[in-house]
Amino acid sequence: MSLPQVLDRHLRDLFGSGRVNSVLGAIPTRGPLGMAQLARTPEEVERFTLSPLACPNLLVHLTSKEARLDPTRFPLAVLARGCETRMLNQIFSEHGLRRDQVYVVGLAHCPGAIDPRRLSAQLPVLRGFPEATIEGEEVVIREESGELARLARTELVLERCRHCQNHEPLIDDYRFDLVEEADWIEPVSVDEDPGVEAIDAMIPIERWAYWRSQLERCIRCHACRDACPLCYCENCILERHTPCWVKRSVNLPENTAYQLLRVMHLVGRCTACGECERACPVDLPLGLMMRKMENLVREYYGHRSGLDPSGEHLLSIFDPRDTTATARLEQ
Amino acid sequence: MLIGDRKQQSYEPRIVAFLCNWCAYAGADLAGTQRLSYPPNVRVIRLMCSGRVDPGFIIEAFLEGADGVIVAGCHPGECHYEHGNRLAERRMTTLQHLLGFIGIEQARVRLAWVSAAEGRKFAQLIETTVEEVRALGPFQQFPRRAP
Ligand code: SF4
Ligand code: SF4
Ligand code: SF4
Ligand code: FES
Repeated sequence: MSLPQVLDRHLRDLFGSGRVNSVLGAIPTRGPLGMAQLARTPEEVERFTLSPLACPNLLVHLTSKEARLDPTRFPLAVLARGCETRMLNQIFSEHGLRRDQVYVVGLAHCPGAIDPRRLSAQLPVLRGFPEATIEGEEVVIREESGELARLARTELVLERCRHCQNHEPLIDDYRFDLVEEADWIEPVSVDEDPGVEAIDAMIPIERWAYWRSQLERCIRCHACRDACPLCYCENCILERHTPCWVKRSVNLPENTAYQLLRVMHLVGRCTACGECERACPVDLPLGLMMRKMENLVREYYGHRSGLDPSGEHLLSIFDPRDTTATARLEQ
Repeated sequence: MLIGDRKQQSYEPRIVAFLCNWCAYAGADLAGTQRLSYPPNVRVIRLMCSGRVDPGFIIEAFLEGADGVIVAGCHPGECHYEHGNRLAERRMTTLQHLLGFIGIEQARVRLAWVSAAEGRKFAQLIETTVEEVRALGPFQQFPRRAP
C-alpha cells in the first residue's frame, strides 16, 4: 500500500538534503477515493500511495489560499502524473508559481486513475480501505477479505484519462514508472467526445433545455472553483461585491452567469482535468463545458494549454489567422 | 437597467452595442449626420476600444434584459491601441461558442468592424441584427427579470 522503496527513499532524501520542506501526495481513504496529503516530515511519506484509486488532482494544494498563506510548505515536492505536469506547466507559464518552488516527481507510464463515481456505479459497497491494481485492460479491486471484482479499465477510469495525451510527465526532476511497460489505454481520439458531440448535435432550444435543467440545480457552493488548481486569483470576481459581476442569489440567471464567468476565466488555461465536475456536490456536468472549450481552442487556435511553460495566455495574444476563425461564426 | 414593453405581440428587440470610441462610435455618429435611418432598438455604450469589452459585460447585458449584443470596433490593423480589436476577436469567438453550447443562439452575439467612414455599414449592421434577433424572439434563457 505504501510507496515503492526506491521512491520512498528518494522522498526521504529530499527532506534530508533540505531540498524540500514538504511533499504532496495522496493517501488511501475508506471507499473509492484517495485524499491529498501534505507530508512535513520524512515519516509521513510512509502513508502515501500510488494506487489508481487516488484520483484527486493534487495541484490545488499548490495554488489554494491555504498554500498562499503558508509559504513554509515551499519548496515542495509533488507526486505528479502526466496530466498534472501539464497543469504545472500552465501554472508556471502564468507565473502562479516559480519552477524552483516545486520539485516534480514525475510518475511515468500512467495507466489512468479510477473515477470514484464510475466505480461506485459498478460496486456500490466497498468496505474498509480498498485497493486497486491495473493489470492490462483490467482493474482488479481488492478488499481486506480478498479480491472483489475485475472490471474493464476503459469503463472505470476518469474521463480525462480516456482522452489523455500526456501519459508521460512533461517535466520532472525525478522520474518513477508506475507500470513496467507503457501499456496505457489508447486515447479516445482527441476529436471524438461523445458527450460534447451529443450536445453539439442539438438545436439551441434543446441545448438550453438541457443546461437549464442542470444549472437550476447548482447550489452555488463554489466547490467547482475551489477545486480547480487554476482558479487562484486572490480577488475572485465571483465573490466580489464592488463591482458585482454576479449576485449571491441562487437562481437560474445568477447560476448561469456564475458558470459562464468561471468558464471564461479558464478558457485556454483549463486542462480539462475534470476536478470541477468531480467536486460538484450536485453532479453538474461541468466537464462537458470545459472539454467543449478545450476542443474549440485546439480547433480554432491550435492551442493546448500547459504544453509550453513559457507560453502566453490564449486570450492575451492573437494571430493573423484568427479572422478566419471569427468569420466562421457568421455563417 | 433596461425597461420596455416585453409583450410578445409588440416585441421590439433590445440590442446593446459596445462601440469603440475611435471607429465604430464615429461610424454610428456618421450614420446620424448622414441622416441614415436604422431601427431605434439599439442602446449604445461607448468604450475607448473594443478590447475593453470583458466577456462579463455581455453576460451582464443578457442578465439585464438585452435580446442581442453587438461589439464593434476598428478594422483589424486599425485599432488605436494597436491590437485591442484582435484581442476582442478571441474573447468574443470563445464566448460566442460557449453561449452557443448552452443554447444561446449565435445571432444574439455579434462582432463587427466598422470604421469612422462606414456610416452606412453601421446602419446595415443594426438593421440585420435587429431583424435576426426579432426572428429569434425575446431572450428568455437567463434574464434576471422574466421577459
Ligand atoms: S489523465 Fe493521463 S496522466 Fe492523468 S491520471 Fe489519467 S491517464 Fe494518468
Ligand atoms: S460545485 Fe456545482 S453546485 Fe457548487 S457552485 Fe459549482 S456548479 Fe454549483
Ligand atoms: S477541468 Fe475544471 S478543475 Fe480542471 S482545470 Fe478545467 S476548470 Fe479547472
Ligand atoms: S480603438 Fe477601435 S477597436 Fe481598439
